[in-house]
Amino acid sequence: MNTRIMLALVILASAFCFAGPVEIQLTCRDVIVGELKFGASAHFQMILRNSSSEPVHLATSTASTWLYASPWWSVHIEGPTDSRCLKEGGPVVLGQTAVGEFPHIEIKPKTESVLTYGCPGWGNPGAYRVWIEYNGAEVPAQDIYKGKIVSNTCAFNISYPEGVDAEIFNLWRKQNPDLPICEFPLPMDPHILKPEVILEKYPTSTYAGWALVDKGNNYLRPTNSSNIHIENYMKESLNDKYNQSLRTYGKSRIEELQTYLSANPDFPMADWMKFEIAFLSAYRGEYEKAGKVAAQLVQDAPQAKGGIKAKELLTYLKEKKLITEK
Amino acid sequence: MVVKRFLLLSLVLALAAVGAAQWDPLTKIKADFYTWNMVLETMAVDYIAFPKGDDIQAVGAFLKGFYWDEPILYDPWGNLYRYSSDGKTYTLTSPGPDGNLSTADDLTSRGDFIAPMPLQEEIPSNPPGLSYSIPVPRSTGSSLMLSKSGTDDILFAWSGAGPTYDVTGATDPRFLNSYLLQNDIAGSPYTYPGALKNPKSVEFFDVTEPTETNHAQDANGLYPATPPSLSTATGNWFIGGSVSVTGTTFSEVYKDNVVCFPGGYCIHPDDTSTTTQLDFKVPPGAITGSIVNSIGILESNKLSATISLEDPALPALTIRTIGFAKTAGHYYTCDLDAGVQKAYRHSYDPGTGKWVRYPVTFFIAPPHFYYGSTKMDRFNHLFFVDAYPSTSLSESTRVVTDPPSDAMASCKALGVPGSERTVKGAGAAPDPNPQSVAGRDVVYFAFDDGLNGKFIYKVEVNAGGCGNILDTDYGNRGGAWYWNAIVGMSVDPKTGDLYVAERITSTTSVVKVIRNDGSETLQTVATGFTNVFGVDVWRETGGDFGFILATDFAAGQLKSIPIDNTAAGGSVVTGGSSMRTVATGLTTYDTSTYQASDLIRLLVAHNDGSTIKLRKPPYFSTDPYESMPVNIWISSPVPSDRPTYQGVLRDSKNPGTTYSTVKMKAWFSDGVARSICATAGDPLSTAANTFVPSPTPAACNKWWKDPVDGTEYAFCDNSSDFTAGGVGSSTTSGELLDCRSNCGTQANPCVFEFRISPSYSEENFRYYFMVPQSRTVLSSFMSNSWKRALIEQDQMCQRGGILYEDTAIGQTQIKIAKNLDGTRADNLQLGDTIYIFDSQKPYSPTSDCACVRELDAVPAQYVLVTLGQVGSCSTTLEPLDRIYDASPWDFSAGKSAGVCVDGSGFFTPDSSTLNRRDKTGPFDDAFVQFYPSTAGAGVIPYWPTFRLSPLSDQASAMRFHQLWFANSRPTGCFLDPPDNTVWCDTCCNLANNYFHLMGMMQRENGNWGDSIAGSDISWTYIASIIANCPACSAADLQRAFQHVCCHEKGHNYGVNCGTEMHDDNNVWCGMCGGAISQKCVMSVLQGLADRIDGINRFCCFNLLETPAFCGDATECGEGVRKTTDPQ
Repeated sequence: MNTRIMLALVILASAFCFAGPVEIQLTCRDVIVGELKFGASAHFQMILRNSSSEPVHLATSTASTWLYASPWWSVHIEGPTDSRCLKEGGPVVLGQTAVGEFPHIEIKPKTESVLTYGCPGWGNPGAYRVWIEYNGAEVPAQDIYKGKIVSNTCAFNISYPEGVDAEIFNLWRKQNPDLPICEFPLPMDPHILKPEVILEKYPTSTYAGWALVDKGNNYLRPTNSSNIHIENYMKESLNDKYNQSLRTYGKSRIEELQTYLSANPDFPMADWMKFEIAFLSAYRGEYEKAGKVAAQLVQDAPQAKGGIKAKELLTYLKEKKLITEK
Repeated sequence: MVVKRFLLLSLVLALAAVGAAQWDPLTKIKADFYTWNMVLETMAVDYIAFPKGDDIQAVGAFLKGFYWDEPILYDPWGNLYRYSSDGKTYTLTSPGPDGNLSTADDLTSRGDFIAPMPLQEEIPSNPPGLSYSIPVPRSTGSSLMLSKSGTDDILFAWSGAGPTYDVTGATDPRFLNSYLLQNDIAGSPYTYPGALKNPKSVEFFDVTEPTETNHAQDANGLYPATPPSLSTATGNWFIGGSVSVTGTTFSEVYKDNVVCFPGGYCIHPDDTSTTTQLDFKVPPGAITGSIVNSIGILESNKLSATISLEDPALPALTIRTIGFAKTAGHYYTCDLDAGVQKAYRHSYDPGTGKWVRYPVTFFIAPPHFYYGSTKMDRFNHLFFVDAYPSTSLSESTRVVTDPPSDAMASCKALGVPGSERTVKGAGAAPDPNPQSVAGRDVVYFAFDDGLNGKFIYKVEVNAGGCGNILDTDYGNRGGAWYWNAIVGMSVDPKTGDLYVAERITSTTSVVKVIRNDGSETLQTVATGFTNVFGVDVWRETGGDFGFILATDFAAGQLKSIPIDNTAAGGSVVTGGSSMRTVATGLTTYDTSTYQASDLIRLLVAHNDGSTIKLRKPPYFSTDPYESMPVNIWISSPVPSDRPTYQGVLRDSKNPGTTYSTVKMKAWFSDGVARSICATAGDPLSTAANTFVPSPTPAACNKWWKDPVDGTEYAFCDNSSDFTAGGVGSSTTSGELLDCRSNCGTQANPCVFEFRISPSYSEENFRYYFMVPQSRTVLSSFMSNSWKRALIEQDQMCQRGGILYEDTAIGQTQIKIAKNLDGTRADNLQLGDTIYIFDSQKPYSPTSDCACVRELDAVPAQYVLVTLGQVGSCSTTLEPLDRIYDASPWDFSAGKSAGVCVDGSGFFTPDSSTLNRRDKTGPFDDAFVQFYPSTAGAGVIPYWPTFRLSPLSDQASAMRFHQLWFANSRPTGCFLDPPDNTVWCDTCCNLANNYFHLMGMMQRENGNWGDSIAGSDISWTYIASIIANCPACSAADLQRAFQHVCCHEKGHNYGVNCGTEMHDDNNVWCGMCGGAISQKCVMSVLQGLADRIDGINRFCCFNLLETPAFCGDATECGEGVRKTTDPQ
């Protein structure tokens, strides 16, 4: 695996050309070919942030993926896109449904909506740049924001896979010599998009990592990170009436995560995997191990979701003196 | 109907051949009597009576000019003849040489006139089969007995304990085509009126008492709809005439009614139609018989209607002969019109949609008049004879029919030159000679040459007219024919044999044939007539089947006899008064106004009083039906549930590999096995909201050749090419034309099976039957293709929760999952009685049942529930009897389980209007028959706030649906097309016609419903609908539930392409000429009022494939009729 390429990059917005009540922030990361289809697309986020004290309505199309076919939005992509991958349609956004007689989304005051965005045509290896604009000046409806908003420009690379990942890609290419790269990994035999297949056949691949993250306890997934209340769980873990299920689960989950991480220490979601290990270790009463993993994670990835939650865990463990302060 | 009996003195009969110019008195008086009889017979054909009274001078004045140049009033001795008649008989007497009456030398002639029979009741063209019913006792507590009552009724009598009963019927044993007869009727018996007028010969019935499950109820607990009922026909039923049919339960959307005539020609009624009255113009192609109104798959009883050719407002004609000009499609009649001798060409006027008359100029002006042939020669001539008794020769004539020349031209003089007898033409019959056989380009003329006798001339014909007289005594009778004033004659197109009606006695007529084999052999081929005036013969050159038609004037009947089965004695086609003539014709064509493919059907035109009536040809019958669009399923998730007339019903799981087929059988009612051919074609659409003609793939089997210009029929709106081995081909021969031999009796019918389009509903096919080598259609029927979809409908209990993890047998605690944010996702309360179930062990009275004894919500991810025994909750624990598998919230482990609180009610979707044609449902318009199946339908556990966003939640929701979808065919898919980055294993469904409908409480964004077409799933959010409709009545809410179901199932069919999925068009029936101005059911911009008004219809491009057809299309079309399942 190319650790240089696979190093996760979260590029935060640094400049906005319109200082209105709403900001658009795009995030992206470097990926390898096909990785988006396994789950990396979740990290391509469009954050709509309303800093005002009033709700803001942004016009959309009526589609559930309302960026599609909306005249008020435009998506700019620079990079080696493949026209064969564009098919029908265009960029989409997911995560919030348009409402109202004149279709729009609402950003509540002082809040942000974290959505994911995607663009057909991404797939070929190379450097990409993307930014998104909203222009409500011509919207023929009241209560719709009329201003113009331009996001930051997010840059990322798509690289050819290496190592075990390349084995998968090469097998696909052998089976589908004429398909554009954006179609990878479909169709393919074995059907590696099935989690049980990718985890069994290529357990150490980058792609398997996404399946492994997705396979975890629903309540302990990165998408639910804000709902993981460390103190509540730690209290619960001490009560044998309640803790049996999660403790049992934690044992096997820690093992499979450790196995994967030992082979893929630079997996983009390694921070969350490590948090899961730390958290479940603590739940199981293995405080020292939990503290060690968490401390290292806080040091290595303090801004990542896993790092942030690890810090909460570490703080709790220290406050409760469940680990030795160093 | 009239037969005239003429009794001439025996001495007259002895004078068969007299040629001298100088007559002795006795001969003269015999000739006078002969001529009087000839004239009075001719006159009586028109007036159905002899002149009444005894004033011979007054009678002579009446006859003079019209029927006789110079009536002979005086006998050879200069005495006035004495005439006396009561109308039915006449007596003509000469006082004899002594000039005194009542002396021995008096000479008397008498004639009897037999009045036509009173008009008989219309004889059904399609009498119902004898096996009119088969009881299917589905109610264990009831015994059902059926018996015939009266003429058309069925009497139901049953035993059982229930105080009230429901009666449902179906035309198929599986109750696919069911209809409601009576609901909640008390006691026995019940009479089903008019049941035997139903076109089906077999029906099935289910009588159910309240404690039983009605076999015909759907998953909504609803009975099938009541079919439309026809009661009376009013107005003038002629081609182009405005008529009405009254009845009940017609569709309020006029285009949803399909009115079909015998032979399968169908129309939509006019926009003035109501739910109790259908208004329409009688279309060209309509023929006499029983009409039917169909609404979707519901079909009415039959109602008889007699179709005339012309507007009765036109002057009434006394029609003596009818001839059909085949290539131009005109009829020619010889008539008495308001006392004036006339001949008319009757032509269809596309502008008015009616038949109009054009006078034909006589070769010799009135008082001469003519009798015409029933057919043309192959040079498009119709022939006539001058029927005016005259002492000169009678002139035969002809007209050119195509292009029409409405002036008679001379053919040949008839009679013995110089005989000075009274000569009168009696009949004409050309040999159609369709195969241009040498020696058969001839015409036969019958004439009466006074005492010289009655002869048939055989005359050469050619493109320029008439050639030589080839035979002056065809049949070699030496003038000894004995026939009526009009001689019915016709030539068998196949053999050239001449059929002639002859009177044997005053009350007996026969039909004889002169064989065209050089021998002029004369044979009697049909007997049992009273008095035949008109004869026509139909047979195609390629077939054995053909028939003789004869109008028996006195018997008041139109009879037919199979040519190759004359021993059968013939049968009555219809009754009628004053029936003088008959001719086979074809439905007249005009491609600018109606469907050419319908227009070449064979029909029988006969007069009846003053009009021309049209009806189907005799003997030939087809099944399944001749008069309605037969509903053919093109695909079904359960292909074994096919109607009996389908050979193969395509499994929607295997698209492209098989064809659905329609089976049909054909037979001859006279019991003779013959050869018959069948082929499939396109009748163009009878579906509402289609556009004809439309561009066509390969013209869908151009089997029909225009009789005028020879071009092949090339309009077709079907979506598939007709190809050998493919659509439109026979499953037996693989060819587009399938011919069978030695079959066609009722016991051994010719059975045909044809392939139909595999994917497209609404497409209709017409199946044509004909004899080999013919393109004249004996009969046809039409089928409409329907997709058959089954709904697995689930309802969510209003209280309960989702199980957090698997349970084990014997455990007394279960875990109910919390939301991901740690809040409770259940609404259980202490003391609740709950049922525990999972997707493999569904909710039922036998599920584990327990009382909620303790609730512990402390754990982060679940609520711990302690189970107590119902009835002793606080004292006795209740261990589980079974294992239940759970995996919230993403359900990726392939398990789902939950609990429901007993008696808490359900969030229930309402799919009851998907298949209604009363504005409430759109899918009959789409030719998709949804059937809410009970298989797999059930209860799902309570899920308070359903989420489809973000995609991780959507994946969970789809897995949840797949787990509870018993008839699913799960497969993986991307959740975010076209970006295709989020793969979801088992979230989608392979193509199928099984759809899932889940009633849920609410979704996180307040939507009323959602659908994912790729997974065949629709959700309706009952609580959200209620919340959004606070002022709604219960009925309003129910309509809102129905609206959402219709809308979401539209999404399942992928209407409105791209990702917009909605449109803002009006419903098709508003856009396309109807009276309904309403937003399409797929509009999301419509207000609340529109969602609860009970109108749920698609816009036209939701139905059609090509949005260009739709005037206000704002979105691209997918077309439920054309695309989507089965892919």
